[in-house]
Amino acid sequence: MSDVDAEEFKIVFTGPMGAGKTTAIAAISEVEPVNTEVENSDRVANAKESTTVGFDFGRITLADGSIVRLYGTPGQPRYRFMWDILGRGAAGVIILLDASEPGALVQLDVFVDAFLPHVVHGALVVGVGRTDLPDSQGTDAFAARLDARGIVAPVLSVDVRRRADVTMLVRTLVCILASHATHGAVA
Amino acid sequence: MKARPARVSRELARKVLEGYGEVAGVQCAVLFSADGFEIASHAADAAASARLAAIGSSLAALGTALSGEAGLGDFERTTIESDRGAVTIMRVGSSRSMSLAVVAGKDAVLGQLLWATQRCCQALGKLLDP
Amino acid sequence: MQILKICDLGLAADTSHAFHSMLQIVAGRSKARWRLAGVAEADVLFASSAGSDEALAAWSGSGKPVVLVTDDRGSWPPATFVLRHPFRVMQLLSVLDDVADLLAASPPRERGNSSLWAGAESLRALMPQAGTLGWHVARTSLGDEIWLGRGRVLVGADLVARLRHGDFELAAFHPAGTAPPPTSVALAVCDFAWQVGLASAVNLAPWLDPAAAYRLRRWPDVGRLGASTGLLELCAMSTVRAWTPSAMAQASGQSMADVHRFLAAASLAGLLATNAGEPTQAAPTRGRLQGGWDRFLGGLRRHLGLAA
Repeated sequence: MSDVDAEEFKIVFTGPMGAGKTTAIAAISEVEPVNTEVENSDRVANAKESTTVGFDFGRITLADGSIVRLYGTPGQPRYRFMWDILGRGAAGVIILLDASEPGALVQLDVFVDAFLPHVVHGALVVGVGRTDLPDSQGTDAFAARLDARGIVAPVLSVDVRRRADVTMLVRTLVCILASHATHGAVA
Repeated sequence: MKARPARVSRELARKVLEGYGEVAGVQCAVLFSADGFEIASHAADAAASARLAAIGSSLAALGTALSGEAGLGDFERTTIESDRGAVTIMRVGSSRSMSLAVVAGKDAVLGQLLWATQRCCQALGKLLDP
Repeated sequence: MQILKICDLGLAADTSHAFHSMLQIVAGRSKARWRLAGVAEADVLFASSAGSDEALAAWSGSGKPVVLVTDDRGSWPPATFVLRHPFRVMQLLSVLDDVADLLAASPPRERGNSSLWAGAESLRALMPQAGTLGWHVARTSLGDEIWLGRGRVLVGADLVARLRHGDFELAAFHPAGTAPPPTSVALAVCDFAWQVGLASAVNLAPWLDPAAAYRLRRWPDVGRLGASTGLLELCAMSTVRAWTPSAMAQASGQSMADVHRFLAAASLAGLLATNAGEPTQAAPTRGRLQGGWDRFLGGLRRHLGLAA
């Protein structure tokens, strides 16, 4: 919990395979990100060529000098143990989803369940990609899903290849952390 | 694109592991793909080999990242030594798309174990990824 | 008794003639005394939905009521006061009395102040029905058209960036007789409503209460909309607890103007709730004299015999 007040803190990017976690961290990291991508042998489940099996690691420095460590988790449930390892001590979590995947809303639930317990004050931001495709869900559907769970968290349309979009996710999360620190949570 | 090895090959691999399993102290062995799928196993039930495959793949990938970061070239193997034994993860095959995880008890002699494991990996490599 | 001036516009010759005759028949029976007048002097416009858009657009900036005459029996009524053609004397009398009630209840409109909020308030009134709404159009002060209907907002491509930067002033929406140009860009209605709120005047929106505590019940999509760090902070603190406008300004260190704009944006976009948990964008109930648009909606429901 003290991680939030310290000058250095940790943010985790998570979400299902192919949602863009590795891409997102690469888009904003100030240092060459560490990644643990290997060849995807299960092209039936997902056509991607590669997949993260350890974690991604990147770093950014905020305007006030705070250092933010960025960790990206693997997406598949068989790497759930990594979710717990990486989730521990996280100040906030960013869940990335692909709006064109039919199971995206269910995936939102999976990752909220896995990571919300780790982050103090529910510091969570959801980034939804590919909302512009014709068959995609809009961000409203994801926001409504969170509403139904009593969670008020931002849902942003993003393209994680764009640095500005990923920066917006991080900025929003940092504002939430700062707000909780300054104004406290309702009793 | 490298598909997972065919059934026949996996069966043969399992036989190799069985033979290797005779080595003193080996409790179980799991051959797995870089992305954490079990290919063949010996003396491990389905659930256990699935978990070993997943965690092993993470360790192998982290080992690769660490070796690279240290400027030391390719990751070869790592051994996690614990209270009651050790787990070794060793690369298999010329394309390095597989690894072998071996769980051994305290009675295993580490040096002998590593040598036997290397031989096993070579055999597996010849079989599946020459 | 009120004397109200009414002007008819764009009606077919026989409809216009019938209208003039009926005005004479209802004289003495209506709540107000009705006089025919030119567009410039009129208090109320009596217009055909098939008529000229320019004239309607010119009228909409004034915030004065319009009675729309339409042939279309099928679709959802496009405006607050609607008469389907052909109409009877009693129907005309009923509509005219509703308009008279509205004008009697509203404070005298000064061009300056009322027009500041005319656009936002017209949007606010239309939001609850936005999904099924027939086409409405509004003009910005630079003459761009903004179309609202069928659950979407459509604008010219060159307006998109200016909307995002709050670089526009919006006049009231009025029913459009035509459809939007095919080259328009579509925006989500709630996004547009947010942008209207952020671009609005420095004072607290007239439908919000300076003594009430407000909180955000859902975030806007700041990925699509963009947001300054200050705005993100206001959003974040509003999800932590409810704030009165002055408390929010004090706690955030931001100006009252910025807080007011944030509250207007959140309210228009349907994202704001009061401390008690009720959304501030509640559908108006009968009998509440909250301002011109609430009365418009009351009148409409009565005419169509719809449940509230």
